[in-house]
Amino acid sequence: MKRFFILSSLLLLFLAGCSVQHKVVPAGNDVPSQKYKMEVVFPKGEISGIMAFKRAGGNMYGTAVNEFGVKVFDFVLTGGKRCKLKNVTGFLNKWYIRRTISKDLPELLNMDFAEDALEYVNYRQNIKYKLILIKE
Amino acid sequence: MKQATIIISFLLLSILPVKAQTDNEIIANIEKASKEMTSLQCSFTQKKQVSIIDEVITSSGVLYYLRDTKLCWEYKKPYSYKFIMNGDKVMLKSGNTVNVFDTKSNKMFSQISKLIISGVDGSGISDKTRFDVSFATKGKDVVVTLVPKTKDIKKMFSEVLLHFDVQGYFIKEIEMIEPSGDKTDIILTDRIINKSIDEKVFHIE
Repeated sequence: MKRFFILSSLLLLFLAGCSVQHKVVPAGNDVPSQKYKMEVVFPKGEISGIMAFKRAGGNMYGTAVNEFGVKVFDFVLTGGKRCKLKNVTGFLNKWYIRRTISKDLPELLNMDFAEDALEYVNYRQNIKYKLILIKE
Repeated sequence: MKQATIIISFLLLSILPVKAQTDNEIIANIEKASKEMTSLQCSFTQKKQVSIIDEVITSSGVLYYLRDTKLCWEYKKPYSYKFIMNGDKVMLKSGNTVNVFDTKSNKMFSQISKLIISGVDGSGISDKTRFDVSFATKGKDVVVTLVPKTKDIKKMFSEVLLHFDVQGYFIKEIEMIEPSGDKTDIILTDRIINKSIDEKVFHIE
């Protein structure tokens, strides 16, 4: 019986840990996010809104929402290189778009943040990303 | 046991018609207020809860609405951004950049505009083709829950909650809940109803 309780507790702790790690920036990170006005221009249209992100434990956690607050996507950038998109909005939720954005975001977000504006152009796909710091 | 079943049945029968009548009254009151509202101007605060960064992103601005299809949704903070809907045309103005779209050719803006208008003028509560509708009272508010039926809206929102104040049956808050669980809460304040609005506000450049 005692062994059962120990195993159950360990399983619960493991599951709780997994869900927190998967869903949100690690608890205890109270540093406010950096917020940028976002413009992404595709050959056939554009997305604008706010991109906000936080650094925690060597990773970067962020979101892109349009002006109306509708989620465009969430992302986790691991070790500055590997980018995983989550909750991608319907019209962008196609494997080739996810793959392109996942490759472009590390290039954009690894730039020198001392600047108020960040720009990255994917010349191959003709996509232009622009972030302008929002000073609150 | 049989007695208990009968008593419970009577209790249920006596409650159900009252509940049904209350819902009908609510619909009638909201529709009446909606019909009487020819214009609305107000301030708004938009709070976007984002779980991945455990934060709320706040924006604010002003809204102008003229019955039936004129809407100016202007963000002043954290930066200036204007969304104007005038008939089938939508104009987006960010800084000096102006883009004009036809709502018929841009699904997302079409859905957003319809959602905002159905929330502002209350028409969403009788739109049974696009939403499953239910009602609840919460303090001094009537909360109408719209569950999208159409595939396009379902992709964006799992639920839309419209808060009406019981006194005037005018919209005061719109909550939009996404499939991920993140939520956008738009609170309308300083509402001025049925006061004339300059047509220039809705001008598309």
